[in-house]
Amino acid sequence: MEDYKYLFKVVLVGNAGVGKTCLVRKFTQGIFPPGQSATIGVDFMIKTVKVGNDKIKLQIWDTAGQERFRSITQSYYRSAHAIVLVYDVSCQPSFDCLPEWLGEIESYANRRVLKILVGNKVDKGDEREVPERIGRDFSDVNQFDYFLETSALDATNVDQLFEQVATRLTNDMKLTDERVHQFRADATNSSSSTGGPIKLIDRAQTQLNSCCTRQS
Amino acid sequence: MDEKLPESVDVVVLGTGLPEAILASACARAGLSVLHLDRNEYYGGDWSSFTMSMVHEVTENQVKKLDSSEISKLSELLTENEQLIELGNREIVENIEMTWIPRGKDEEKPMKTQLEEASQMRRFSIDLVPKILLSKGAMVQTLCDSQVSHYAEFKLVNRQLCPTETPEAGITLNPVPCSKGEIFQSNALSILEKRALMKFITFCTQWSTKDTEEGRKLLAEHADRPFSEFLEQMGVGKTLQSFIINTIGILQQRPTAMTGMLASCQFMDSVGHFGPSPFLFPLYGCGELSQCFCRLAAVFGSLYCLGRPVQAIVKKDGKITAVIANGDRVNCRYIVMSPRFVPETVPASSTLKIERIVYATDKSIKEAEKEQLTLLNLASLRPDAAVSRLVEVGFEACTAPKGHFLVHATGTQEGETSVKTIAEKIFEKNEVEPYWKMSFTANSMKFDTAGAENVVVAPPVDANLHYASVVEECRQLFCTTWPELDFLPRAMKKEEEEEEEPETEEIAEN
Repeated sequence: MEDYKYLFKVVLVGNAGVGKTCLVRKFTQGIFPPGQSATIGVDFMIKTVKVGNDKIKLQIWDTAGQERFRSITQSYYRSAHAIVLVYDVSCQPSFDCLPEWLGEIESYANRRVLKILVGNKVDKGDEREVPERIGRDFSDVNQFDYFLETSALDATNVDQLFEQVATRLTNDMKLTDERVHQFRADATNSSSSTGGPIKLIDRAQTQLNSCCTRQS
Repeated sequence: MDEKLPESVDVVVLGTGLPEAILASACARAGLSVLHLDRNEYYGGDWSSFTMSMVHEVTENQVKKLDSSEISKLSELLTENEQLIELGNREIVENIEMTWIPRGKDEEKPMKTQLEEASQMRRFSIDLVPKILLSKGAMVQTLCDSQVSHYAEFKLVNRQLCPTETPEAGITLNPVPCSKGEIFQSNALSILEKRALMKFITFCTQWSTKDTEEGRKLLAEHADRPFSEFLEQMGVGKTLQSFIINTIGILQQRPTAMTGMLASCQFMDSVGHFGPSPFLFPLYGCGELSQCFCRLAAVFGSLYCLGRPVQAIVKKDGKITAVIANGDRVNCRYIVMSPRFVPETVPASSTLKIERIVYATDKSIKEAEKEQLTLLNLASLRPDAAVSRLVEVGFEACTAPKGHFLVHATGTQEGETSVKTIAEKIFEKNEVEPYWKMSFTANSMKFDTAGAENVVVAPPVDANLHYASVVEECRQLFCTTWPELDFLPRAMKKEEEEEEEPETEEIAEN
């Protein structure tokens, strides 16, 4: 039973303390977590959005705090459709670290991944250390697909950020679908019974469901 | 920014190999505070996977011994009655040789250059410890219960090959049918053999419903004698005996009737669960699993710090009180460590040497219309050895570029023939020319003690085909050390998704 058209994996990276978790929470739950606690207990969140007539699921992954000592796993980047690189506009060092993050993305992410640059915490107007122009220039020079400044605190541009991600990924996927459809039409004769990747949890769910069905 | 490590935690875990990762996740999940350290800049320790660009790092493991001035400096961190103990750096992976192999067909441009120019070096995932998962085995169960399964994907090992060798034909690789459907379609078996095999499978199905004692009775005097004898009295011919022992019974080395039946039933039980084959392989290679368990630990609060020198531990009254890493002291109540870190003064209770060779090729050992993930048990060709196998994985498993393969040979060191010799015979017979290879010895070191009562030494690398023993050893270590806590309990279904947006809300398309 598919009730959505696409599921996209979106991962957030950037220095500790730039507000990645707050962005995710604000978008998925509409809340801004109180206090300054590090990212604990946050795995991924799923939010369904609409792009045109299509329901799109965004599976948004947080770092679980592994960025604090620069120890994010390669696995985290696997199969990501979009990577949102976040810095804090009131913290120059978080911007200065962007080239290192780009290096990781280049090494571990899919080559065709959508790259989004986000300058967060624009609510701290008086404490701004990174002008918008500088952020946008960095985005252009490093071929990000999109640049945006946000505030998770007052919700500035938060929805827009993820809506952009969903829209761009959906449009890319539709183009890909057209090409794949063309390819499949040409290749109808060859038996392409490709076994796709196996997610263990899907099977476990199925097992649980059939158990429940039997009992009722 | 070199951020400070915490001053105090419940558990410090040293090394990010799979067993350490499992234990870290179990501790964090149980509510203990965990600091997880690795000297390497990468995850996985002696259980790592590497790209072709990074595989040289496995040889760059230079940890200098502390000199007297360093010891003096670190000793300043000690208090009364405390003793500094330097941590070990044991050679778990040794005798490493890595080489690109010139080939006539690459005369114009070496394969290394071709791969570099096509940006394909990063497409490899070279496993130090390649294993498979049994579909209904302990690792799959643990992955599902803990929901670490969210972080990983798998591929079916969709081809098992059974080698036979004759003087005239050399080594022939015969496909193994696993499901009943495959058995009847198989060309490798005669009608009589198919009938005998079906009879055996039916017996397995009935036998597996018995309890242990009853099962043993059914095997009568054969129970503790060679499995082959039992099969013979069941009317199974020599060829099919070998087939059953080495493929259906692959999970058990040198089986008795009892252990062979247990292994065969495990095998049959997993067939059909995710597909026709009972075995799975992790997408992007086996090193991925370490990272996945580490993520779970992080989600439950574990701190991760790679690339820090981990120098010493501090002991007082028979207990470890702290770890010293990069000159910082971290107080702790327990330490979990990879065997690599065990201080040199502690003797290993046993060491098993495992021969490992990895080859990169651009042709499968047995060509097929579609790329296969392949497992070969070589036991029939090396009867004196406990372990001999080949695993071939490529693009479909995301461990090599399209059209390329990694062939992993693994063997214990007994008998006159090395597993390498057999692998290269198979290559020659099937006109496969490797263009790169890496060989090394893996030392499976066991320790009865680590010299202090609050130290847990994680299970070593081993030669087992699958992960059951690693998972169970971790469980036992955890339950012995923390008897009041649960080892990776079944997780409640997460509230992943919030209320959907009202239907009327739409995103304007650009």
